[in-house]
Amino acid sequence: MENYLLLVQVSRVNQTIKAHLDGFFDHGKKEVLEAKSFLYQTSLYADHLPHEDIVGLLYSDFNIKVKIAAIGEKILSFVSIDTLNQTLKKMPEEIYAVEDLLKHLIITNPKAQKELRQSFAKVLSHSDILTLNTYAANNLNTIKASKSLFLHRNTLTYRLEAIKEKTGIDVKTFKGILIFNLLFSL
Amino acid sequence: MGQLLFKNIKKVYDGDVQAVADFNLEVDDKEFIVFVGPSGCGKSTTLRMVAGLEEITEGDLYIDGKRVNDVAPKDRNIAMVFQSYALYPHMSVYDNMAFGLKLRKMPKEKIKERVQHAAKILGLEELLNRKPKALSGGQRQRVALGRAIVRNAEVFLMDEPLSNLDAKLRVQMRAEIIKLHAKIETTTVYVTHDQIEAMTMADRIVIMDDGYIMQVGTPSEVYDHPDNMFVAGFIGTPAMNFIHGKIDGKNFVTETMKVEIPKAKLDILKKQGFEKKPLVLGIRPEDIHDDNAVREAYPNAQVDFKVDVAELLGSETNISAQIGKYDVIARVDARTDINIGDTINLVLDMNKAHFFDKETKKVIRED
Repeated sequence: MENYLLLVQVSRVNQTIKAHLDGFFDHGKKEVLEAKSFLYQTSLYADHLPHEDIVGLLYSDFNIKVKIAAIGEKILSFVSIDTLNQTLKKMPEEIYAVEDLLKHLIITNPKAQKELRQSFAKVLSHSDILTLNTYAANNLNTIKASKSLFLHRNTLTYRLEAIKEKTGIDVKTFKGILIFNLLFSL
Repeated sequence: MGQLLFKNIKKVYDGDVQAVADFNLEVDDKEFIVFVGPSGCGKSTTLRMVAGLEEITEGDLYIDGKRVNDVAPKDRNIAMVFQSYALYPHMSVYDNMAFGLKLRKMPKEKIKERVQHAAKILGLEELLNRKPKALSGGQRQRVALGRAIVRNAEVFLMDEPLSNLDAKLRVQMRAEIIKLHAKIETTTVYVTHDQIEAMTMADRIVIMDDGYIMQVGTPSEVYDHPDNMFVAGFIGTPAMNFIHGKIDGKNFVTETMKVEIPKAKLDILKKQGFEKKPLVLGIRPEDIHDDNAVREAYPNAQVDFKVDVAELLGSETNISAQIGKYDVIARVDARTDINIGDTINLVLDMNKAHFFDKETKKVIRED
């Protein structure tokens, strides 16, 4: 299983708040990105932590706003953690998956969009991109998409898994396929 | 004192998505009020607005007569119990419970007294030195309640507090929360999607759908006198049966059935002008009978059912059948020997029948 990183930003920080964040999130390594941004490593699936409740608890106990983004390690080969950190700062909600950050980045920053496209293009073959576009065009329906690609359904599933391995983005989810759709079909 | 007053509360998210529309409600001191409804109905959003975790887009929220729209959560004198318990994992049970008081700079001795007292109420005395990781789900939930109790807050807010527990423990904790409320009498707002929790725990239930309050009432009010088809269908398992038809003379008729409407109900329907309008008859599964006493009382409310499924539940049998194109469920005594494919004669207790306007989906009653 891929290691998850949690990017955590707080509106205010002191020793006590740091200790509580560590209590919730620190199960291995921690990196301080900026005074109010931390990167925690966790072996837990990001979904298993009750992020919303933790954010609610820290807000009601300390009156601090906390933002959390769950990030797979793999994705950092394509985009820097600093870029993600800066992106999270601009976003209004509290809890995000990395795909949300990438979407925001692609839509708001043409330069970053171009860089992302180039770095993904290095690992994705032409047929990968055709697969992704066809899969999206068929509304994430594997049966229809495999027919239109003249592939066996299992072959398509295998290819989609392989793309996930290569990029760290689960393209079988709407959020995931949307990233490649924005990058490669516009 | 813990009165809550919601005045025209609205929540609109970015992009004009309306989560809560014009919410008006008065919650009395010591009341246990339950918000219930399907996912996305706005119940949690409303609770989170009381907690101060969500901003209120429009309207006024008062706690004890004081407008709190712009008061920070920590200054609202409320205590929230989260779904996942949200305990600090690195602190002991004692410290978790004491924490809110320490933040409020209460003297140590007094904190100890309060925590000991709450621990006694919740049966946590032996566990005070443990970390949350070393507790069972039910125990963690009790610590979360303890955090709220020690605060002596005016209002407890609970967001699906039992949904992480297994079925057996849930029933047990349900009873414990009711007992706890009877003991400490703190006004409680409780959010759930589980109608059984709502019915068993609430003094009053607020049923919501799509951001709107559908009905507010005691459990028996919403069960016996639903205001509309949504409430009628939402409260009760199996759900109330709905059969579309119209009035013909003294009867309610569909293409395949004809039952006599009791005079009092018929008069109301006629007076409200439904003689020629499409109607929906609502009848609960337990108000469809197979015994002769009821058959004699309502000789003109007999219907033949073709049995699709018969589920024996021990003391009773749920029969799924069709009346014309409508699926209907009847709950009859388990004595009756019923096989799939049988056609059986059942009788509707028409005094318990509800009539709804097909267009507005509202119940038809006297003005």
